[in-house]
Amino acid sequence: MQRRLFLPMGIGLAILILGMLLTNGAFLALAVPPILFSCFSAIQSMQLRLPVLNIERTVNRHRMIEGEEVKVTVDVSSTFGTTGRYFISVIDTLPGGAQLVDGENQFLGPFVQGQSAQFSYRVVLPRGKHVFKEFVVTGWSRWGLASRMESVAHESIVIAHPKTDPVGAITIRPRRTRAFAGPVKANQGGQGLDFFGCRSYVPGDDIRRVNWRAYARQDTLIVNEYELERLADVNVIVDARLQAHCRLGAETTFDHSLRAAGSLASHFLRVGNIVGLLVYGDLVHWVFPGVGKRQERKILDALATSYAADKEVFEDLRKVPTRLFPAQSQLVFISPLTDEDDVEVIALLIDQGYSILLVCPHATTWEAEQIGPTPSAQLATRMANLRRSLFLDSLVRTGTRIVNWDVSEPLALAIERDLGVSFFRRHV
Amino acid sequence: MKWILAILLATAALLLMLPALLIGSVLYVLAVPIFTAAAFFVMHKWPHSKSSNVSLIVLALLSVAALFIGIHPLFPVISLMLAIYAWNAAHRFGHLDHARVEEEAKRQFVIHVLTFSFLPSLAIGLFLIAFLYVRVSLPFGLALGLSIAALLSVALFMGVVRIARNRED
Repeated sequence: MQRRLFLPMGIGLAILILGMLLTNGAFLALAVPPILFSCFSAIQSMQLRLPVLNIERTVNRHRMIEGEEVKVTVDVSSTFGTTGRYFISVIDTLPGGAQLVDGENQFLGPFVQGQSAQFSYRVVLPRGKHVFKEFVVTGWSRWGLASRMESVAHESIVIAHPKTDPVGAITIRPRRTRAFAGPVKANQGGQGLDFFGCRSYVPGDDIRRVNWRAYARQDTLIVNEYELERLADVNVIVDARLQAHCRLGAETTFDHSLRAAGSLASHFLRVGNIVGLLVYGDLVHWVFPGVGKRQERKILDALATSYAADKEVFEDLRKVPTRLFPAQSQLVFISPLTDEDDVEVIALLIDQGYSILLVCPHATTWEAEQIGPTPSAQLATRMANLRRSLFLDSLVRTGTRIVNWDVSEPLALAIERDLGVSFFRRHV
Repeated sequence: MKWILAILLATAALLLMLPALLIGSVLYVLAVPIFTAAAFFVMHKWPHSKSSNVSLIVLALLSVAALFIGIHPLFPVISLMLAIYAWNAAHRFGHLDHARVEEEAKRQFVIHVLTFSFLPSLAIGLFLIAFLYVRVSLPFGLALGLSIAALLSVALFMGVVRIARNRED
């Protein structure tokens, strides 16, 4: 018996019992409609059979950037069964957060043997891993007394990556680089493009590198050295602690942090570095360092499924697993910095030999706009800016390179302002 | 659709109110318009199935109350049948709440539901009217007139809905 029928049946039985208690025939008569209706419906429900349907969903893309549209096409066909007498409904259940922008995600109408139908729709998906899980098929009996609902499992996965923007050229100078040629200045003499220094000639040196002017002055062979350009390990760390982020309408600064992480990881991968990712919050979610487009996809997939969480064990940044990062490598830290402890942890990492580029997202401008130009809001904004300046100034003294990023402006602009690199400069 | 269901429930409530007016039960006459207004409100605020469940329970309570104040059982029975019809239709309309569907398919579905869901309620209603005519001393003319008037009003209403929807197209 369908669950919905419990209501009229319950009403009918209640009136029936009341009638019997009062020995009043009118109450008994009133109890008859709901009881009869429930009984007929229950009998019809048992007899009702749904058609055997083949339902196929086609998604025009499985990876996309958040906010883009996905076109979904659903084909419904029946292999056997006589279903002409029933109305059927096939609903393609949308994943959470999906917004239907065009078309219909339901087929509704009579369906006969051998018939096929198609419906399509477009949805806009936010960042995340979206699973289109199932179709809900409902069939109704002719007189509307019975219905049967079934779920037909059919899984399609669409991953919406965070939106990335080009960030211009960023120069990084980690203390240690890899042995392979790459884009990062290794602070060692060798083959490269930029002049590094001179040294005495040793057999085996290329004769073209002899500095003839120095030879003329000193009467000994001197060769020019150029700065080696090598691959570097870059690990992007995203602060996913809920307490560190603030809400900006429908989004949070965490969403902006993920976009920044995606943009920076893509940039460092495109110029040829070895890039890894660590999301620090709910769990320590780590993407093993690698190179190339496949690594970029792995990192963007990981960012798509990341979320901010409030775990006591990750309350501060002291639990950042530094053993995952190669010694003296480059770390790109994306964190709003909540208190002095965070500043201390970053200073500690600098002491351990890591080179750190800190991107510090904040939403002070947005918050000030929301509150309005009241004296108290202005004072609060000033205090927040002063507090952040204190943190950042103490970090600058440790040698951290800092991008103080107001999320209302593009990241590339903040990088250009704080790191002094031009968006239009193409080489590292 | 919500308007259709709300009007159906209001019709059911009015069926209870008219004899109450004749009897002179002022409290009951007040209760029924309140129910009617509430039915309109919940039908617009809540999903179909939830609002219809609440409306059905309240109308059943009003029907029982009507019997207590001495209204002839025919009126509550017809009223409850209309409420069950609205409730059943609302549960089917609920399937339209979860997805977006073509307007033409939606129109056909609504007409199909309103037409076919009515027939079981009509059958049970007619059976009970006949039963009450046999069992309760009610003038035949009055019973027949009331039942036909109730059913015709619903049929007329459905026809108006259909014409209105065709005009929209």
